Amino acid sequence: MRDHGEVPACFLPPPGIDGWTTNELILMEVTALVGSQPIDVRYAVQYLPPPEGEPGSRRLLVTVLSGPRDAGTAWSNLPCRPDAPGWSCTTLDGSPATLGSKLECRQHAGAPETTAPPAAAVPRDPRLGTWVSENPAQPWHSLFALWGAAKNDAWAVGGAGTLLRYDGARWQPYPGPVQADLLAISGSGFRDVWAVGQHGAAMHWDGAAWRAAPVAQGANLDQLFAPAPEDAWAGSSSTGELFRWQAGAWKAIDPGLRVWRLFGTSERDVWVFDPSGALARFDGNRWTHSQPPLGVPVVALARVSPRHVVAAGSGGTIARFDGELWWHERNGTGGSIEQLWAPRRDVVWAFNSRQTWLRWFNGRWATSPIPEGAAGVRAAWGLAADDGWVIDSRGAMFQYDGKQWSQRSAGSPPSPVVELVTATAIIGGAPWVVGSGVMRLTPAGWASQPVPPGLQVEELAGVPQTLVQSIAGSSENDVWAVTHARHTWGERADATVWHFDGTEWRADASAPKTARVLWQRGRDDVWAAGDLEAVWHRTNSRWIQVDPGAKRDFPSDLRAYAITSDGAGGVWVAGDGPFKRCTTRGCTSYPSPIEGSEIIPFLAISTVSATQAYAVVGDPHLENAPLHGQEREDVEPSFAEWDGVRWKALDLGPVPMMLGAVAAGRGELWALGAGNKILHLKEGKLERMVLDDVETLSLITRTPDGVIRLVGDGGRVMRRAP
Amino acid sequence: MIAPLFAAVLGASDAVAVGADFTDGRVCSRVGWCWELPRPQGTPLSAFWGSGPRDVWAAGDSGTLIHFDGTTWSGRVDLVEVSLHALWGSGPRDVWAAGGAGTLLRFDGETWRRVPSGSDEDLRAVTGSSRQDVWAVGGRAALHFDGARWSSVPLPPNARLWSVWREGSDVFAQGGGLFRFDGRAFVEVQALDPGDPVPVAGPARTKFALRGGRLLKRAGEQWVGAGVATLERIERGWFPSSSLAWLVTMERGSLRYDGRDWKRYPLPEFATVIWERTPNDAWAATLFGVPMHFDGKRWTAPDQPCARFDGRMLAVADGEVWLGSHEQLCHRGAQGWEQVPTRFDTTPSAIAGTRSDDIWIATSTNLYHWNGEFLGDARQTPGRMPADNFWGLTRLWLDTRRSGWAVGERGLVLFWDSQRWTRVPSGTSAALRAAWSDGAGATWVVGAGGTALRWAGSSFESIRTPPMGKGGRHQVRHDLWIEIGPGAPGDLVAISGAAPDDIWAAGGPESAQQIICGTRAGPEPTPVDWGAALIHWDGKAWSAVPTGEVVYLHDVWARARDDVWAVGADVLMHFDGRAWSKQTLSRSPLERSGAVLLGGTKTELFILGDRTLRVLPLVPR
Repeated sequence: MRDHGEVPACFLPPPGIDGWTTNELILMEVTALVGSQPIDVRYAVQYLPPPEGEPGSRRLLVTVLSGPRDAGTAWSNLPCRPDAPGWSCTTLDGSPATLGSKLECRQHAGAPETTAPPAAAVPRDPRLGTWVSENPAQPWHSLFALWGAAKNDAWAVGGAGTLLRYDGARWQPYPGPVQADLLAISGSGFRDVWAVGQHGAAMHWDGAAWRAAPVAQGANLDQLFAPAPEDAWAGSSSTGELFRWQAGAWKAIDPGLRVWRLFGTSERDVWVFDPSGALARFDGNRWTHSQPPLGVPVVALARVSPRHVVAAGSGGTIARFDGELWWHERNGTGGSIEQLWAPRRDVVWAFNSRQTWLRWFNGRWATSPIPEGAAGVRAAWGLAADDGWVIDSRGAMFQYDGKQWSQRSAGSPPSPVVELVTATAIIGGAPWVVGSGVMRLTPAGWASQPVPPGLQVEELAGVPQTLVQSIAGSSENDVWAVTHARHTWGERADATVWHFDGTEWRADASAPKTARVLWQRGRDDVWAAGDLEAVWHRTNSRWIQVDPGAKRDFPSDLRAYAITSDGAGGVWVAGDGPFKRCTTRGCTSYPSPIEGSEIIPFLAISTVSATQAYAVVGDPHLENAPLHGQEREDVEPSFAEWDGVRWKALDLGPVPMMLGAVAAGRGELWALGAGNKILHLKEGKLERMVLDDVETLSLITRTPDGVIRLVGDGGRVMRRAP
Repeated sequence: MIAPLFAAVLGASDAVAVGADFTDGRVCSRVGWCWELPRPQGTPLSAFWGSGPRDVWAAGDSGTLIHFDGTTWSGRVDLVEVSLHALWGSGPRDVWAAGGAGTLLRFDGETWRRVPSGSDEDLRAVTGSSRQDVWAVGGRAALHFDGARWSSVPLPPNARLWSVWREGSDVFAQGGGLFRFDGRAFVEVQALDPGDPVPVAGPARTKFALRGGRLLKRAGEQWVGAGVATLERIERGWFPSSSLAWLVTMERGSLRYDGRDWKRYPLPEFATVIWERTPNDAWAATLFGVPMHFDGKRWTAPDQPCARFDGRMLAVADGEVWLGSHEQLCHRGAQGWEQVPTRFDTTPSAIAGTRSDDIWIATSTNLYHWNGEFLGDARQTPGRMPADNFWGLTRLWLDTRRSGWAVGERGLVLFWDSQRWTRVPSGTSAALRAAWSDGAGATWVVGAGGTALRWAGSSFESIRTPPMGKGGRHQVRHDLWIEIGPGAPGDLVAISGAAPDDIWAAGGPESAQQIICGTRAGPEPTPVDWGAALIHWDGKAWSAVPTGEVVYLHDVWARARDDVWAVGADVLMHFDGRAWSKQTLSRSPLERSGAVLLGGTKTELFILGDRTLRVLPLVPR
């Protein structure tokens, strides 16, 4: 036990978050100079309520996720240290605090609450700030992988060193020596299990204890193959590196290609696929290289026997290896496959990123119903065809009993899932998120809401994707929504406008069939815009067309993407055409402030007042496909600003492709771009941040209390205090 | 040239079988082949009789007589040379079987013996009241057994009997009318007008009749609907007493009448015969002779390990026999029959393999590989098949894991080199039907029009084959003859070699139009010895091998120079190095084309029919 002093302000919860009562887990990143080098240090901080019998005290669990790469970095060298008066910290295992340590810090009852400003030496990193996962709220859910040697002896690993053990009946937390995110786990038996993760984290279970055995190079390890005791392979799909554990140490291995997927059937048969799908096989002595056997990048592999390996490639390709030859097969479904589980030669599960899970049985692939609340699958494991486990992309666990999948999340109630998100709205002061489902923030947290009938996540068997595309409301008992079907090639069907009275959704047959977006000022004061940028206003229970829109041969040439208040009793409408400001008497068009804007549609508007609003421009066709690592640094201006007279371009320099923006007040703007990049414009200064440890975020919203939220597929909500 | 193979098929002595033959759990022929599929056997059955749940006999076509001991069926497929139609016994040590050509057999508890009937009519029914009072009828014969001998009972001239039963002390017979035994002769008690419904045989004759798929009942002078609650066509009925009846409908339903009500019980398969010993112990047979049992609640049929396999799909690989169909593959290995979980998009046409983890299956346009774990689709896998869109694959031959041939329509030949199937020019547009290779360089492909192609290292060369058959007319039965065009080229469908200079090919006259069938009214037949369903390669030339009345052979397997097997629709032939001999194979109704393919392991010969499989133990070589 060591006393590490007291906690500084940089570990205190951000203003507006009462983390002490809600067990918040906050990821924070701090930059500081260590010597003359700027060092980024990432922490996970969990706020714990007072221990029993000590109502006046508070506790923190602090994990240093990454920091200086110098081996043996001492806690005392870190830029943010728990050294505030009145606090004392100890590492959980009693060892000296260092990179990867998990510390418990305690504020002693009666000690003065620290209000000290951030120490000058360790300023809060303006690039990231502090974001909190609001949905799912529990760190439990950040599970990434699982593996077991027996049905009653399995392990699951996850974020911030999370380690769970399964005894055949329940999953329970198990102390582990690593605090980084653990991304992969595998083993060769009860007494030989490896887990690896971010920043070179690696640990080994010998049947009695987990011991850290980090890879010195510190790559993010997400690939693991552990065929035998004293023989394990780990790889990084992000850096392409490969390491092998032999003779008690990790050594870098050069397989002759960049590691993307690591797999093997035995100690003498280790496979490495590169991002193109090319294969290198190691037979114990040498590497043999071959062209991509699937013809496409390999996504997932599963071994049934030495002469039966199933592989899934991008685009839904499935092929099998018989020990000598690869055989392709038609899976007949399309869609991408993310994970495979092959417990028996005649039973293979292929898990799609979406809502079609495939089951191969008796020589045929067939879709299988997925359990309620499941999102895409990120890990699968099981030892028998009637006993399987998956972890979905939200970290929830599901078990298969041979007949059906059911949720078996460890401990916490399931968080609401919206598989695909399309829009947010502030209704009655609270944020709502819609898409393939509907959820809203309640005083007890995010909660699923009833959905309009007929939603369909993925185009399947000729039934097009159908989502809630827009939502608006005056209260939780007066909500309007638009659904429409959209085929994969983008064709949109007639819209249905629905009203929710707090109990059920009813279609409004009198609503315009081409309405696409909604905004609501109050009860019986609803606005809609749609194809051809036509605009309607609903009052006295009647929809009245305010503007018939432009004349085009194809309505798809001219679409409305956003409608919102103009701050003066009317609405702004943004879309493929010019800006329009509408009142119940009609609309006025405003010339584009941006050169060539006829082909650069306006995607979103956020209004501060009648004389100030912001708009985001971008390419709507990329809207659904912003991926990490593929963001585009747009050279075009991406923002426009309304000054009460005209729209003018707001040149913020090169920015990522923008997905949305919210105004936080005069001169202050928050914007979300591709790749989870966040821009914050305030008083003429632009701050940039990135959230790279969560799913792709695609929506941004701001509640009247000033809280900014980012929303991503699956229903992930990240929250930032004002 | 053709010697009687497998001597002593038919028992000339009184004792035709011993009791021990009925306990080994198999149904076999006298010469040694046994039913493998369907289980327990595949010859149609006509009658059941038993003294208890562990003593049930069944008799059927081609002399089939089998026994159920409470667990398994055992018996003979050719106990006698004629079909058996009826069974009755007074007890376990006194059972009678009646059949074709006046055949009567009696079981004394140990042995079935022939008993002279004094008649050559087909005996269709047998019944009795004791060891000293047994009746058998059929056609113009009505026979009575008094405990010592059978004697003939006079019949009216219109009688053509097919049923006999007792009612109290009276004996009735039916067929051409209804007749009662008056102590000396059968006398007509009810004439049958043409157009009347035929009253059912048995004591219920006054109540029920079957007509047009409906059961009628007597209402005064009229026949009216019997009120059986089914819309299905009633195919057959059994009325053993006035208070018991069984009906079978077209849609695999059975209906049981208990004297008051009809109750319906689904059947696993359509039944041709039902016999009830007690209300919870009844037996029925499928069209194909598979016994089904009724326990008072439901009918069950024996599990068939390989349902609905196809007559073109037989492979023997490393001692395992493989069968297949559109829906499945199945094989018999050390653990017995096992189904392979796979299916095909289209109907497979051939199967071949070298080991249980190296099985190829052809469809018309594709090839699939089973590696013991999964089915690889060659067409789906880039680079594994020729680029052109061929069709019409019909047969496969695998020498080794790394070398194989596939042949088909329009001269189609593909070669497998362990990585891919490539198209090999055949130089012919004839339909190719079979390939054989010794794996050491000798490769032959045969097909229609007498085509025989020999692999010459880089291409095929065509080798002339002799006409199959001299032509002429041949009397097949007393009322049927066939004519073969003279010198017709053979349609070669099978090839197998014992050595590169000892190869056999089988087939027959090329096409159906060259076989002309006629009746007795046709021209007088010319002498026999026109058939040559086999040709032989001696290393220099092909020569025709006369096969007598055997017109067409479907497959040939040269196990050794002095051990060659061939199979035709109804015939199994064997060559011992000196001469060919033959044995008739009784055809199951399952087999539209009869036996079609052969496959052999070191110890067994498999004979595949359309949906049947027979196995003949072989002397290990």
